[in-house]
Parts: sequence; C-alpha cells; structure tokens
Amino acid sequence: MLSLRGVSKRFRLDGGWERPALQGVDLFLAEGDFATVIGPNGAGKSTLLNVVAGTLRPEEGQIWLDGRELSHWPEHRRARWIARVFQDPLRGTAAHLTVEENLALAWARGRRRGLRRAVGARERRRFQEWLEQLNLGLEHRLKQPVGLLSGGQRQALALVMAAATRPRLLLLDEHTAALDPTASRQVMELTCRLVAEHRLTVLMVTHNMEQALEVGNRTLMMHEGRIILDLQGEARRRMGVEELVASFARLRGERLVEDRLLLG
Amino acid sequence: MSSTLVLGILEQGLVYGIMALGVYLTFRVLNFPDLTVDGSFTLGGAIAAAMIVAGHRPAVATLVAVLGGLAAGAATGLLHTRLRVSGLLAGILTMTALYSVNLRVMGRSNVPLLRRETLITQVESLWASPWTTLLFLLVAGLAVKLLLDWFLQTEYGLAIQATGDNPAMIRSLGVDTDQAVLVGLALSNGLVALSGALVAQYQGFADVGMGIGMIVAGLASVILGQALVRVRGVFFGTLAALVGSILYRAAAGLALRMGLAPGDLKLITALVVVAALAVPRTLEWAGQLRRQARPRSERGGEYA
Ligand SMILES: Nc1ncnc2c1ncn2[C@@H]1O[C@H](COP(=O)(O)OP(=O)(O)OP(=O)(O)O)[C@@H](O)[C@H]1O
Ligand SMILES: [Mg+2]
Repeated sequence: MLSLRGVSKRFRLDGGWERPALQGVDLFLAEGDFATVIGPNGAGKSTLLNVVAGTLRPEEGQIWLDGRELSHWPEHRRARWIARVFQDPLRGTAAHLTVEENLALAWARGRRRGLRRAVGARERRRFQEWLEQLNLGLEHRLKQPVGLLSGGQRQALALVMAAATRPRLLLLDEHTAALDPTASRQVMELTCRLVAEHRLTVLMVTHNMEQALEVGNRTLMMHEGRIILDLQGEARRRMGVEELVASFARLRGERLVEDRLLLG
Repeated sequence: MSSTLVLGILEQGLVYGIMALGVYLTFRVLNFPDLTVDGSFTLGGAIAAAMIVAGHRPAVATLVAVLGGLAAGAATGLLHTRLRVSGLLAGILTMTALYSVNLRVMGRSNVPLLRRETLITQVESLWASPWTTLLFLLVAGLAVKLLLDWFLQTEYGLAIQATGDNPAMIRSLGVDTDQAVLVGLALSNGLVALSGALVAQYQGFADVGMGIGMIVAGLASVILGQALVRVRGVFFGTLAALVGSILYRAAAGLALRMGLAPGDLKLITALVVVAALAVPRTLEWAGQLRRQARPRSERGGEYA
C-alpha cells in the first residue's frame, strides 16, 4: 500500500542546515492499516505527513503508494489518492464558501474539474445523506457559509470531505487537538466510524497516549526524525500507557547511546 | 440633471462595469491584487481601434481584443506562478510592458474612430433611438455578469473561488492552484480588455492613456457596490460590481458638474477608495472597543 524508503528531510535555516526533521525513515503500511503516530514536539510527525502528502519534498528517499512512485509528484496530483485533515479547523474548509460548495469541492477530488454545475440537485441529496450521519444538524445548513460554523462542526465537515470521498490513504494530524473535549470526542468517534465504513488506510498523529493505543491497529513512536517503535498485534494489545511512556524513555536512551557511538 | 446626462452615466457605468467585473474576479474572488488592468484595458481599446481602422469587422476586432486581454492576464499569471514574482510586481511588470505594446499596436498615441463602423454605430443603425446604445450596453453588461456567475458555479469556477479563499485546502483536494490563478487572471483581463474595446468604440477613439487609473476606478466601483449590495455570494457580488460602476460614474459626473477639473478626478477616486477601506477598519476598531467594554460573560459563543 504505502511504503517509505529511506526518507530524509531537513530544513534550511539562515545560517545553514537545521537538525534533520526526518532521518532515513522506512515505513510500510498494509491495506486497511490504521496507524497512530506519537512522539514529543519536534519529533517529525507533521513532517512525515507533509512528506507523504507532497506539501514538502524530502531530500532523500522514495514514497510509493499502490505500486506507484509518488516522490516527484506535486501535492495536488497526490491528492487524488491521499486525503488529509489538518489540526487547525480553519485550514480544512473554505470559510467564504457554503457547506455544500465545500462538499462539492471535495466530491470532485481526483476527477477532472470541468464546466459542469458544481452543486446540482443530485449532489445536494448526496451531501445531505453524508451530513445526516454526523447528527450535527449540518444537513439543514447546506447553504450557509462555513465561516459561521463552530470549530468542531468545521472539523467534522473537513473529516467528511476527506473520508467520504474514499481516498486510498487518510492523513490526520492532531485533528482533534484544537477542539474542546466534547467536540474532540465526537470528531474522534466520527473518525472511527468513517474509517470503518470506507475501510480506509490511515496515518493519525496524536498526543493522546490512550488514544494512540486504543484506536487503530498500529502505533508508531517517533523521536528526532526516526520511527523508534512500531507496535502491533499482541505486543500492542498488552501495552499500557505507563509502559509506553517508559519504553519511550528507554528507547530514547538507547538512541542517544547509539548516536554517540556513531559520532565517536 | 438632464436626461442625456443620466443616459450617459448609465452607459458609461455599464461599459466600464465590465472592467469592474474583471477587477471583482481578481481582487475579490481570487484575492489577487492584479495591476495588469491599466495595461490590459488600453490593450483592448488599442487592438479594437487598430483593427477597425484596418478595415476588420468590429465584432472580430472586439473578439481579438479579448484574446489580447487573456494573453496579458496569462503573462502576469506566468510571472507569478512560474517565476514566483510577487503578485503586485507581476502586474506592474506586465502593465509597464503593455505600454510599449499598446503604442506598437496603435502605431501612435491616439487612434480616432470617426466615421468608422463600430459595434455602437452598428446597433444604432439597427434601431434609431436615444436608448439604443444604453440597451446594447445593458445587454452586454448583464450577459457578461451572468456568464461570470455561471462560470464561478461550475466545478472549475468553484475551484478558482476556493483558491482565493483557502489555497492550502484546495490543493489538498487535488487542484493545481497555480493553474487556477493563471486561468482567473487571464479571464479577468479578458473582461477588462473587452471593456476597453467597447469603451474605444463608445467614445470613438483609443488613446494610449485611456487605461491610466483604471484599476483604482475598478476597485472604487467594487467597493461602492458592495457598500450598497450587502448580500454574500457570487450573484450579488457581480451585481454589486455593475451597480458600483454606475454609482462611480454618477459620482464622477456630479463632481465634474460641480466644477471640478477632469484632471482632479483620479485624486478623488483614490480618496474614495481610501475612505472605503478606512471605514470598515474604523468600524471594526470601534466594535472592539465596545466588545472590550462588555463583561466577559457576555462574550462567549461569538465564534462558537
Ligand atoms: N517549515 C519549517 N521550517 C523549518 N523548520 C521546520 C519547519 N517545519 C518543521 N520544522 C522543524 O522540523 C522538526 C520537526 O517538526 P514537526 O513539525 O514535524 O514536529 P512534530 O512532531 O509534528 O511536532 P509537534 O508535536 O509539535 O506538532 C522540528 O525541529 C521543527 O522545528
Ligand atoms: Mg505537528
């Protein structure tokens, strides 16, 4: 499905090169995998998602999806197969356009956009069905500009726009972090429902350790641009939050020693 | 006011209104401050006048003028998207280059169309009435408005709207935003050149200076219109541009009547735009003061 081979990314600062944000990352996601990604601030989680989506170009390495090498494709071409939801609810929707117009933009994902009317009666009915599942009452607000919705509603809408169009890969970057606890829980439930319904393959960044272990079938831990732990199967089922935190400290220590050895 | 004066204002408002529609497309829809307009307006007039003088049919001349405008907009778009020149500078570069192009096209700085057959004389010969020209320009202006409305509601048009609203989001939905900007700029300047071509035929000459200050006049029209037509959406946005253009010409006509020299008009226009930009700022600022005065408990839910 998705495979990353030796992907490295560093940012250029005024003075020269910054410490690498990704260092030779290898990753393979099988069809239907739902992997959560954890790690401290600056570990490279967002960079990993950006490199997969094509927002950033890595200096080294290859990115394959369904047997196609995407490494040199611009973001908008990859968007045909890769959908994403950002942390900031304002980023995932167009505020001045209406709910139905936003949905129409998403509905055309991966298709040639021509001179057909974007929102017709048939589309409107389809969008209504999508929104009814959310139980947020948005199906009655199709003609309102998205800017009038709450953050949680906008994020739910962004999620529908990303997931209901059945992408091959769904990227979620702390997409519930900016919401209040209730909205956050609702959006997370919706995420699980949509992922199950459309059998999506997902890469989800989160700072919530419990969530990282409960949701999905794999947990990836990142540190300093590397994936230092890939939990799945029995080992993941047996893992608790405290143990996870402890293993992070241990793995980070080993990494430090290893780096020192390499440098020495 | 005499009826000929009113007639003149309506005619001018509509013929320049097509230019305002182009400005609406870049400034409001694409959120792109395109200064190509001064050059592409003249280009439209220059091409139309030169071709009519050379004996081509007015309709053909007007069509070629539109194509010229499309190319001018595309040039600005390429500078911006390929060479990553800032939007403002890209427009200024094209506008400056077009000055020379326009002189070349016309061969001199002014091309009169006296006793030439133009679109205006053609429709006037169809139906002799003082209302003919107004009717023709009304149909033209509304047709362009409705076409633009239709286009912006298509799948591609909606992608252009989203490019102006949230480019990161629409890229993540698979739209090449560079291309959308390019297409939007080309269409906008096509409309501006159409307006220039019609103005040249309406006033009976093309002049190398006819586009000076056009962008500010267009902005003034869009802003005035939106102050009056306060409904969101494309349909009312384009309507506002046309209405604003008529208002702007009325204000300009009034100013001239009150004894202002024609040369002062651009200063007044600039001041109108400054005032229009300042008013919402000031209101916002006043609103903030009022909000701050309110107790905290009342505030929640404003952006719920
Ligand atoms: N656009 C950028 N320019 C320069 N440096 C950047 C840029 N984006 C990220 N970085 C750097 O790359 C490293 C990885 O950042 P990244 O955003 O991927 O971390 P993250 O794991 O998502 O962290 P967080 O949990 O805070 O979101 C950091 O050191 C960060 O400072
Ligand atoms: Mg991040």
